Amino acid sequence: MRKEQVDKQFSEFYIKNFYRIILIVSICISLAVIITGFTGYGNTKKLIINKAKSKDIVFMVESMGNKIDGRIKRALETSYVFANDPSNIEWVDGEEKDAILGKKVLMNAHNIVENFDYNMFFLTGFKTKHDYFFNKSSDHAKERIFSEATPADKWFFDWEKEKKQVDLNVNYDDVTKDTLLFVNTRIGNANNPVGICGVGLSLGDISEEFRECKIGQKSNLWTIDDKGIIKLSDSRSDIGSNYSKFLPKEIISQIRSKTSKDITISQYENSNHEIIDYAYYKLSSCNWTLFYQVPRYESLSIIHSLKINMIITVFLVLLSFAFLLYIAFTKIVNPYEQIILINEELEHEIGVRTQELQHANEKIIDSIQYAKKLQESILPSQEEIKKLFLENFVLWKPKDIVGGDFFWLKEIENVIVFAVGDCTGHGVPGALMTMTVNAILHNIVTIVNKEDPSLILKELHVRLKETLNKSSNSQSVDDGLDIAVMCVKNKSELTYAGANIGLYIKNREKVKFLDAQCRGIGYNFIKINEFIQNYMVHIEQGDSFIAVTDGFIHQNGGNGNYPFGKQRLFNMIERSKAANLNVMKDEFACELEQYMCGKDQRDDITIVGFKVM
Amino acid sequence: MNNFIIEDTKSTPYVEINYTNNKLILKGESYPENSYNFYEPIYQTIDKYFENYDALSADVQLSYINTSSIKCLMIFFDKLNKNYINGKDIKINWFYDEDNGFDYDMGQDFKMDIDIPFEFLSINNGE
Repeated sequence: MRKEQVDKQFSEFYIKNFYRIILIVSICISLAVIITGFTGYGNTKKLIINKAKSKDIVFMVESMGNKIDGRIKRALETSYVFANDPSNIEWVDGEEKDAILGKKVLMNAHNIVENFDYNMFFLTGFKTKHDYFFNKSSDHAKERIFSEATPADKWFFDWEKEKKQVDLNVNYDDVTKDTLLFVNTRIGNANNPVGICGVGLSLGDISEEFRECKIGQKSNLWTIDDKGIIKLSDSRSDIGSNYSKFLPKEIISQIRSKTSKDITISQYENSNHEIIDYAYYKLSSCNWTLFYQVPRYESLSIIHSLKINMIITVFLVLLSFAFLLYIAFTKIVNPYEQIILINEELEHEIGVRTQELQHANEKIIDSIQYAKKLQESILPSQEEIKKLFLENFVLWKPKDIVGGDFFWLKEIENVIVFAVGDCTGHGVPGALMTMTVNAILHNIVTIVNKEDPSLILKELHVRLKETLNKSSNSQSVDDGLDIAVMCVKNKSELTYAGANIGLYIKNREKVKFLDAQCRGIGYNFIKINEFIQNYMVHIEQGDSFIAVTDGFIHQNGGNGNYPFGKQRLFNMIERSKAANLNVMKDEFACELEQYMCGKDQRDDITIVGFKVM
Repeated sequence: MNNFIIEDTKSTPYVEINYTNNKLILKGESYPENSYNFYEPIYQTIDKYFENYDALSADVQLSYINTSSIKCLMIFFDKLNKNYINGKDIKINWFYDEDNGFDYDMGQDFKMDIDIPFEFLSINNGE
């Protein structure tokens, strides 16, 4: 019960600690992964903003500006060269009447459209108001007359009045259904202007490029003229609107006041509290401004997907880590499970061994149980003893199932021979000895002598030595026995001789102890030619004769765990006031048990008592 | 020469044969399953001891001795006795516990069989 409780406590404690460790490790690694992820994300974000501001936006505005500048400058050059060609001036000045010259001039004009990849070229003289124009696809010059009544032609008459040299004009061309940027140049010198010629560039492809260049959906790329009108835009709908419609006032005033030609980059917050990055650039070819703006979140759209990726990565890493940890702890290295497995294995093994041992033990016990039957069969039965004595008791307690203690009884004619013995050792070796001694004793008493215990002992000693300790080297077993032999003759006379087993004679409160004459029988060290004295006792009414093997006095117990001892034994016998020997037996057994107090029996214990009359 | 020492167990006594101060110590309880196995090495050692030394003082304090150990001790004291008769200087101090009784009786039994000076010393009077 207690062990199970301890096991349970241990396992609970272990599992608690185990999960605590997993939790701590998981938290540490999760924190590390999350911190790494977010710092990485933050750094990348900063980097992207910096890059967008310092490189991407600047680069786009710059390259777009250069492209527009280049195209306008080229168109300007083309129209300027044509406008200052003396033959052209001459033809226009001569009201386009010179047919030969006219053919050459128109050929030149046609070549400009053809060779320089412009969408349109036109020339008009102030005198005739006759407009000659070439489309990209046409071989011949188309002709028409500017009329002051037509609103679309108003710019021509304004121009004539203002005497401008160069002008840019955005016009929707009805014929080609395209928005064209016209780069117009005055023909002739300032004092004597004769007409206007101009190169028409399609804005369609520039707008297309605007659309391609810009980043994000919400960004704007505009070209704004000096009056603030959006001339070019990625989205057609913005064209013609004033940029003040879209931008805060302070930015407009900033752009207006700006004179230098380099790129300005900055940011503002719009009415929706979005941060907008913007950049603008004053074109060098004209007084137009290229303006670009993009919401911060648009340029950060990459980082947005990066953020999602990062979160997914962190999540996956944590998930796989948790899975790995789980697998590792539960399946591979979980020491608790390992211990349980090993324990189970060991328990199984122990179970098998225990069973084997049990089988072996059962076999041995069976055989010893049988040996006990044998040993009991050579001991005199209670009926036999009862027949010969007035009263008697026998307390025969082998330490194991069988033992080295025995008692022996024989009646021959008028003599009863009673012996109590304790062979060396206990258990099976002791029991083997008793069988031998039994046989020898029988032989001596029936053949040699039945009346002289001293003689019986001497004879027993000699025969036992012959039987058991044949050689006297130290390797051989030196075995023997303690014995008391009593011969009762005519139920009136008792002769006793003993080897290490004394005889108590109790009559009421009086106890007489006859000490044994020698230390043992059969041992090599015993010199048996010593004289063993017989004690002769005249039996009186009520005499109880008691003999005890040394197992009794050797038995430990009591307060100091000391052996029972001779004195205590003597006192016990003396103290007894038992009415008969059966009661006395119970008293002795009870006192022994009390003294042992549950301790193991040390040796075989035998105590016998009898009354003759 | 190193002293001969056997540590005590539940069923065997502490044994020491000290060559420097010519002392033998036997202390504890003696009831092994096989007494001969336990005492045999002690016999051999004591035989060798008397080949080289002439004196031995044995201090014995055994609170319990089983039957077969008694036989073994008889053999042992017999060995000492032979050496004593051959002129070695041997004496035995038998320590006993007054509360026990058994050990004193044992000592008396052993004393009876040998000629060596045998002194009884109670451990209760403060050693």
